[in-house]
Formats: sequence, C-alpha cells, structure tokens
Amino acid sequence: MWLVLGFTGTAALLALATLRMRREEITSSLPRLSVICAFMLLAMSVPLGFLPTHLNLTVLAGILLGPWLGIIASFIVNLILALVGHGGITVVGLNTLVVGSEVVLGYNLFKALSRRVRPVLAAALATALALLVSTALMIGLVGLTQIEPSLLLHDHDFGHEEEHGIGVPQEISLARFAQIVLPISLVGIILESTVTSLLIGYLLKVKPDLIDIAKDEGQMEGEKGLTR
Amino acid sequence: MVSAVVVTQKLFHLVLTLSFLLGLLLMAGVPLTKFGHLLFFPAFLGSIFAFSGISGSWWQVVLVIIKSVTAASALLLLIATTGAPAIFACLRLIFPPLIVDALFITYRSFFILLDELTSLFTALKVKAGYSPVRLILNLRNIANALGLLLIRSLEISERMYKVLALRGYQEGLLFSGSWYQPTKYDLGPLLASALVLLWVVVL
Repeated sequence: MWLVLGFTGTAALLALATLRMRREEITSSLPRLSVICAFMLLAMSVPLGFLPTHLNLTVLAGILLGPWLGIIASFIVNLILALVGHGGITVVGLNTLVVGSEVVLGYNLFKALSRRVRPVLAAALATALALLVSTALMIGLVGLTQIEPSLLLHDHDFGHEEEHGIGVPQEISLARFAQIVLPISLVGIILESTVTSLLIGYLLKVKPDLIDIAKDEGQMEGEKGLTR
Repeated sequence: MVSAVVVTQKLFHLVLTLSFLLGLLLMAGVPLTKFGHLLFFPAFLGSIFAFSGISGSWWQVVLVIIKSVTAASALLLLIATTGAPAIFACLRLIFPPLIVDALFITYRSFFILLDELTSLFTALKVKAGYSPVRLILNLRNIANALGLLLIRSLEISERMYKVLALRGYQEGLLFSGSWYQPTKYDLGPLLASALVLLWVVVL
C-alpha cells in the first residue's frame, strides 16, 4: 500500500513538474537536466577513502536546475540506480519523494539564505538543513510503512487496537533503526555540505551566471561591480 | 520476478528464486566476478533494515537480506542482458516522452563524463592530490575536480542542445516508432517470471 502511495505521489509530482514547464523550456532544458543527472550518478561513484558513504549532490542539482527540473532529476537518478541494484525498484516512488524533498528544500533554503549570508556559506547551511530534514523524513517513512495506512484514518486511539482485534505490526524498532542510520547520515551530511559549498564557490569564481539565485540577489562573492 | 520477491515470506522460495536468477546470469555469460559486487549494496542496506527488527530472529534477518539481494539480482539480469536503449524504449509505454528522452541522454552523458572523470582522477593521483587517509586534501581536490567536470558537462549539454535543435528534435522523437514493442522472444522470460510468481503465491 505504501509503495503504491509512493508511486502515486511521485507520478503526481512529475506530472506537475512537466505541466509547470513550457514545451520550449523542456526541450531546451533536457540536455542540461540529463548531464546534471549523469553528474550526480558519477559523483556517487567518487571514492572517499575509508568513509562508508557517498556524495549525492541533490541540493547542487536543485540550485542549478530549479525545483521542478530537480524533482525530475531525482526521479531519473533513482530509477537508474534501482536498475543497477543500488536501491530497490519497488521503493523508487518513496525514494524520489525523499530525495525530491532535499532538492526543493535545498533550492529554497539557498535562495533565502543567500540574501543574508555569503553564497558559499548559504550553500553549506542549505545542504545541511535539507539533508537533516530528508533523513528525518526517511526515518519517519520507515516508521509509517510499519503501520497499515487504514489505521491512520481511524478515529480511535491506538490503545483500542487490541479490543478491535486490529494489531499494529511493529516489526521494526524505529529507535534502533535511527541509531544505526543517524551516525552514517551525519557523516554524509557534513561531507555533502562541504563538497557542495566548495563546488558553489568554484562555480561562482569560474562561471557565476550558472547560479541564477545568487546572481539575481546581487550577492555574488567578490563580484560587486563586475558586469556579466 | 520482483513481485514474487515482494509477495513471498518463505525463505526456501527466496533461496530457490535467487539460485534460479544466479543460474540465469551464469547462463547468459555475465561474469559474476565483475558484477557480483553490485549485489553487496542491497545486502548491506538490507542488513541495516533487518537488524533494526524487534523480534530479531535469525531467519527474519536472513529473509530481509535475501529479499533485497534477489530483487537486485533480477534487475542485474535485466540490465546485463538487455541494452539500455531497449529498456528505456519499453519504459516509453509507461512514462511520458520527456522522462524517457532524459533517461537516454543521461545514459549517454554518463559514459562521456566517466571518461573525463577518470582522466581527472588519474591526473590527481599522479600529482599526489589524492590519498586514502588525507580527508581534507581529498575533499578539496575532489571538489575542484568535480567543479571542473561540472563546467565541462554543462558545456557538453549546451553543445548537445544545439545538435538536437539542428536535427529538429521534438519531445518523444528519440523513441518514436514501433521497434520497442514486445516480440515473441519476450515470451520465454515473461512466462518464466509468471511461473515463479505463481509458484510462490500458490505454494
């Protein structure tokens, strides 16, 4: 049931993203979308030495592509990863919702924070916050999938399940799952924030017109007074 | 096959299905020594999920891990024996043309950028810019290399757009036509998968 809900939610988001963009925008954005997706896939294969995690660069994709194309990019990356066995094919929908939340949140946080602080710091903070929220969302989803969806719509308290003979299946200890996942996630968050902020800093020096948000707000690092 | 994995709760059925899939992979000539490591990821991620269980009985832990490895093996069989354009063309039956075109161009771009990334990493290692234990140095150099790769990839995307525009690209053009329709040769794998699903559901 939750898998179906995940796919339905993803389908609705993708339909909305496609409708929001005009036909000519889609055609012109397609190569950029595709190479950013390929870049994200490659970044995941970058070796980080002894660390048991990998880069995602989802927030970077959100900053470069915008929220709607970023959602499409997160779906494409999840689908390709599922096809090679990294991540389940049945949870592509739910994964896309979680990763899509990183993209959208990262974009909006970067846009808001870059008005107040330097874009490099804004990128680091936006990435860290977006990933924290998506980790919490992922743990919450794992907890929710242990519960029958119909029970969530029931008016009774959970204490009445035994009277009604409805059992709440609790196969997973959410606390134990969180204890295992959180340390690894925190390492990944620190890494991702660092690399994303370094990449944004590099792009601002070399090709600042790619970062539309920071350019629009007129807060490009070291470029006040330079024209495009 | 994936449906059978999702539905079944019996370890015996899963082990037999996994053996069947590994046998098919060997028959197809897929070198498991080169591709087998791809099964490590679902096993590792499945074990995190499995060890979070309250009941913690050993067979449930093994069940969860074997489920994830079996589902991944089914997809590995698909991706190792079928060309990616054919897979994406079949997805045209489900997804809108934009998604399928983006999948195909992503697939192509991945290999182009992989060559670039390999060259960049070789240059990094030759110039002592990468060490397994020096994390800060690695992060800085990897970020610079990725930044360079990103600029290069965006230039490739701009060139790709001009090439597509010059050739009159329209949404859905890449997989138009009927060559992606299922044929009689697809019956064998379909029937085998249906039999596996029936077997795990009925027995």
